[in-house]
Amino acid sequence: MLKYILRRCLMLAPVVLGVSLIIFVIMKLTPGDPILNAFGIQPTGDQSYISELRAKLGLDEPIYVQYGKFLWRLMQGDFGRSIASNKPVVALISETLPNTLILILSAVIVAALIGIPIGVISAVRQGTWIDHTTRVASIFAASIPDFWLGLVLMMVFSYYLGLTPIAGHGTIQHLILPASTLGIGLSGVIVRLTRSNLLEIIRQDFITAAYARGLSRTRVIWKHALRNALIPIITVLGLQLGFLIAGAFFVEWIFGWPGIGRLTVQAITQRDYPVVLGALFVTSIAYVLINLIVDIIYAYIDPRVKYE
Amino acid sequence: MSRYKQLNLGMIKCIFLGETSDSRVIARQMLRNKPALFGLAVVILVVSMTLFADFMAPYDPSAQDLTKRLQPPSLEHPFGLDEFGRDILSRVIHGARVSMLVGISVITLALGVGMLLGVFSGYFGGKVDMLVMRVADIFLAFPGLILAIGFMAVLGQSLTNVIVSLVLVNWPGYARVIRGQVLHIRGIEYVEAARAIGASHRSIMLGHILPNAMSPLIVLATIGMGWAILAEAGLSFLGLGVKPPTPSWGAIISSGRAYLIQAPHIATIPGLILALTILAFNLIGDAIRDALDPRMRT
Repeated sequence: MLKYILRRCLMLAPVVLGVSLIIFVIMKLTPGDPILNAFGIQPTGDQSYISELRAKLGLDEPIYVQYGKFLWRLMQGDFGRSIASNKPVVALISETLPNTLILILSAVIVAALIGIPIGVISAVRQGTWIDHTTRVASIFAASIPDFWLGLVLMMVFSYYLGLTPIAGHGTIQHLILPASTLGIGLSGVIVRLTRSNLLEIIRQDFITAAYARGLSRTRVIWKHALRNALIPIITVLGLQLGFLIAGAFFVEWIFGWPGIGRLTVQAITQRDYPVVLGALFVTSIAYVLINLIVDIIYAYIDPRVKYE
Repeated sequence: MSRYKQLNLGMIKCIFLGETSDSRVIARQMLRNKPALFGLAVVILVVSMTLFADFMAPYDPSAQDLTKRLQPPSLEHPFGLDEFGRDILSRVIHGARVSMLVGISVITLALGVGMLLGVFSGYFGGKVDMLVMRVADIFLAFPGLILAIGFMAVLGQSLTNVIVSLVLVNWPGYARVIRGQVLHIRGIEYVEAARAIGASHRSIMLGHILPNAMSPLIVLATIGMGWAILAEAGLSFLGLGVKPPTPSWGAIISSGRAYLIQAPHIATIPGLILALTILAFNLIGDAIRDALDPRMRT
């Protein structure tokens, strides 16, 4: 197991290097002169001063040297300063990243609370109208755009019913709508997975044996079958995290949730490129790490996963 | 974004390493699938909107009438009017063009690139495989649409940039699935027989391996269409998609955000059309996948 974890960690290095290379390429694609952008200098300004700044920041060096220095700064957590607020990008990210993680975790909880029971009912009632309705509803839930669902929920629950705050941050009420928006879509996927996994499990011998021992149907389904059906769901949840992070960008923007998604979208509208690129890098690394953790948990739970 | 596409990528890998399927059986299976028929009807409607937008749209999508701004749905304007007094139905019909154009272009290009690299990678193996797959891993390290958001942030708003960004995000998934297929197929006897009679690499790849690796691509392309349409709408919602005043579903929804109380129809109706379109592609993709899966045959 330890070997497996070490091997997976080593495999991360080229991926992180590649991510940094793509960010560097995007940075180089940024329109306009970086010196003029960063210091607000007019192109007709003092050329000797512009050249001096360019040399000082190493922008006159060969591209591979620039990339090397960029990588070194990234490794030290130095993403530069925000053009809009002049604050260090790393400070802005560390203020907002925890909020995004809270939102995503809450969405997973909402999705599991909705998806697992409905998936179980759908499997137990296989072939009935409940099953058919649930299956179509789950595909619909997974197809709804987060940004549209967010607006609809906001309209119904905040404007019309007045049950939740319209936007903002601070209390658990502020979290209900953003987490539900993200969670409802994911719940569609969980319903389908729970149903299909449970249908496979309930046909296995150990379930027949459990019934033969005289256990009630509720106990067999919820305790024995569901426990085994949950393992693949963990993997899929890991795979879905990327979509949750992307979805969080939209949801945070709509509900004014102060996460990394809102920070990025705000930075895009202000053309604050250091913040955009810093947020992009941190989000990708967080995603890679979360996937690694999910893989390790999966390998730990299911001994059939090959360590080699 | 599309959680559905990711789910299907996983399922497809398991299903298509089985047998190849008879097209008549698949068609019969599809015709018995009511949700898929509903999906097909919606897709036909959207395609018609794309092809005949000029005839189907009751008004000019850019024509403004500020005296009627924010007017709710009526017989004259079934989807109502937006903040500039433009007919939303006409804008939705013309917006379908952008959605379908992005969907078809992204899927064609991403599939093309993914297929080419996936076949090379799986067939030759070794260093080529390692290089292609590591590059794919790097692109896959970016969650969902976020890389596309990053590219659009620096490239700027344009239809071409939307397509380029989404192709860059999409190709690695296709390359991975095709590679898996090729790895399986290249060990089958008929490929070894072709190799034994001296067939060239090109002829084996194009003539023997690729046609037999195509089945999962049909499912992926169908579900991918839904994803690409959703992604374009998402980028336009954030103001990173096509340039205004070109009508785009995402941009219409975004403009309705400011009028949720006074004119909820601006955001809700186009959003519902968008959701139904994505659902339609997902239902069709789902049905094709089930029809191709020997375990699901009745």
